[in-house]
Amino acid sequence: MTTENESGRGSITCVGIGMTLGAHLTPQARHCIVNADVVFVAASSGIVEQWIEQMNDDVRSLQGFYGDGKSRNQTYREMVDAMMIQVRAGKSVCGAFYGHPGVFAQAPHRVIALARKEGYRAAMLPGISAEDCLWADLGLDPGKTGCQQYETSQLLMTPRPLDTAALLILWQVCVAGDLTSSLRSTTAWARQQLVNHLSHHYPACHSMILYEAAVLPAFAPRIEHITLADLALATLRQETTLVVPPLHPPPRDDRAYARLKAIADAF
Amino acid sequence: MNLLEAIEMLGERSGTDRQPELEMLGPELKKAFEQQDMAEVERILGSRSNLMMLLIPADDDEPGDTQPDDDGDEDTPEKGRLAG
Repeated sequence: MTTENESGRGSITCVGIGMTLGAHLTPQARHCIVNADVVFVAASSGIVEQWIEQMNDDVRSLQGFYGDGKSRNQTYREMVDAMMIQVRAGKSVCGAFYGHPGVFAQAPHRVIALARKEGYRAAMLPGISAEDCLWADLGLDPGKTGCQQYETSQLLMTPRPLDTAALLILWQVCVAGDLTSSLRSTTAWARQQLVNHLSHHYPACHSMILYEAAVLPAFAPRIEHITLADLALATLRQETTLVVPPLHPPPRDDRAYARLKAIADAF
Repeated sequence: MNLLEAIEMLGERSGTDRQPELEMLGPELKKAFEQQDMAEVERILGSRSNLMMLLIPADDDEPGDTQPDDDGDEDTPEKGRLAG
């Protein structure tokens, strides 16, 4: 348990700005952006970045920390450093991240953990994530079959059993197989390793969905149906998510069912 | 009201009743929206394009990385990776 830093009133709040401009920003997140001393923004589009810039006189883009061939591990460390410099200076800092700041996003978790460790106030406010949009746009419910989701390269590097009776969602599929975390996209050959991996579990004809949430209102999301065989050569962008529907219904455990029924009948 | 504020208002409407807000964009931007032409919207607004969107590495500590995590704690590689 840490106590509030005695040297100043520095604080950090990481907020989600959602996926679609104007449609997803919560009143709480807007209040935080408008009233912060400094806002750092990681947006999904330059248009969204401009929109956030209108809300506060001191909005600083986090885009400059990325670099071609530069490890994103380093980029995320520098993002955290930049935000913490302002927190330590006693500023009320807002980190505005597209989607949900705590979902598939490293810097917000790290800056909050570090700020708290140093005794500053730190909080995270949720936002509407790409996953949230996915359920609505694709008409899927993770409660129907269950759902597993992974960062794509992480799945390749640390393989684990896939449940083919549940939905599978793979994020950052455009950089599948990038061991350096420094590329904007990987080659079809690298993606073929993903196809090979999935081929152990799904037939080549298994239907899948390439999904991208809409960034601007009145724009349609990308919902493209492909087969596993098509995946290596499909158009994949940073915002593309691969959705793999279940291959079969979940197996039923008749003995467990009988036990539960007996209990229900007894009471 | 500037164009970004007009787009924000458009975002507050559902698909069935957004025609008045589309008209507020002006003919050039309205056409770009109707044609779902992101590049044209960016051009009209003077926006930066092709932003990096990736916010998590595949691996917290890549080979050869000798720096500790910012939080100084033991690695918790799953933190932040699972959908909330």
